[in-house]
Amino acid sequence: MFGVLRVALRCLAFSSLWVVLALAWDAPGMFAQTPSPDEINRVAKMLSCPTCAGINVADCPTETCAQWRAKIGELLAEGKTDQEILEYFAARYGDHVLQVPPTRGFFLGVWIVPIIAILAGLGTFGYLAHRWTKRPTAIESPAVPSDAVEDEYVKRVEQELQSWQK
Amino acid sequence: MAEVREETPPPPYVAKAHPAGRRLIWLIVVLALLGTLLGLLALGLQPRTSVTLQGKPAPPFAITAINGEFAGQKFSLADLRGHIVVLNIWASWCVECAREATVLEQAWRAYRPRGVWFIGVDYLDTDTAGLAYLKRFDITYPNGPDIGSRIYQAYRATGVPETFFIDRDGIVQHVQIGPIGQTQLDALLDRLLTQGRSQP
Repeated sequence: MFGVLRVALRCLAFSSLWVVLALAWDAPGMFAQTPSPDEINRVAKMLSCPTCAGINVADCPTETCAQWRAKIGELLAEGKTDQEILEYFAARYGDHVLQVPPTRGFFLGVWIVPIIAILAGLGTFGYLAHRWTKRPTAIESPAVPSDAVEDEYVKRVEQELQSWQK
Repeated sequence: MAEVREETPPPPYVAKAHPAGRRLIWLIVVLALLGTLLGLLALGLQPRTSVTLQGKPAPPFAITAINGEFAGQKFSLADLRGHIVVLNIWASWCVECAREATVLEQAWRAYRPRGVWFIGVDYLDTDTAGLAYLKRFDITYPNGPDIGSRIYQAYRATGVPETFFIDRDGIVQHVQIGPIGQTQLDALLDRLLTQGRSQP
């Protein structure tokens, strides 16, 4: 009686082990779900249509973008993150397909040039503003005091007047 | 009176406002900025279309084939030196590409024994769609994806399809923008084949 029970338990344990192993083997496939259109569009909005201008993959009606959306769906179903999917597309088709330019290579200029331009503009503005506000101060403090010049004139005028009165 | 006027020194700002050195620096900065701007403008105005490659060395390329007997094999222009190479840039979503697909395959089968290599570059396609296209038109010459769109950019392509005819010396002899017909294709290949073979 106990022998039969022991064999049955062993069989149960053995089969359970197989089930666990099978689940572990196919875990990603089992738990992966078909992504919804919203999930696909969330990623597609971060990619630019490569054959048209100024439109993202989510909103683009072309065949190319339809294929790309299908590919995004496949990658999401495989469990890839948004960032991994964007990296895949950038590597496969080039950095220009990203809506937000990457901070590397040629596209680094897209980030750096505006900052340099703003700093240069602020610097120029500051310098000019400094110069413009400095001018009146220079006029107010000439090297020769105006009083001295005035005194000289007054003195000579008085001398002239005196000599004329005489 | 006149003496006094002569003795009065000019206000200090008149002398310091525009010293010659500072004016020169400003001039150099402005000229440098203008020069850069004009340089960039000139660069942008330069024609950068594929036809400008005619008569010039073909840019190097490398692809990994995904179809038929060549699947997994790597092909580069350097490896094909000494052969006539027909480089066709296509995409599965391109209607005009489908028009020439059969013509290209027939020419490949006819000219392969004479040492002409056809290479297909799949531009902006997913692998699934690209393979389905190759299967649909029974294309057997090596085709591979344009990783990073590098070949498309290097060849200054302006769209798909575009086909580049490269001679045995690696010089682009003809650029075909748009689909090519059988008669024109045969004429081009016959002309390239009759051209003298270069010394290795």
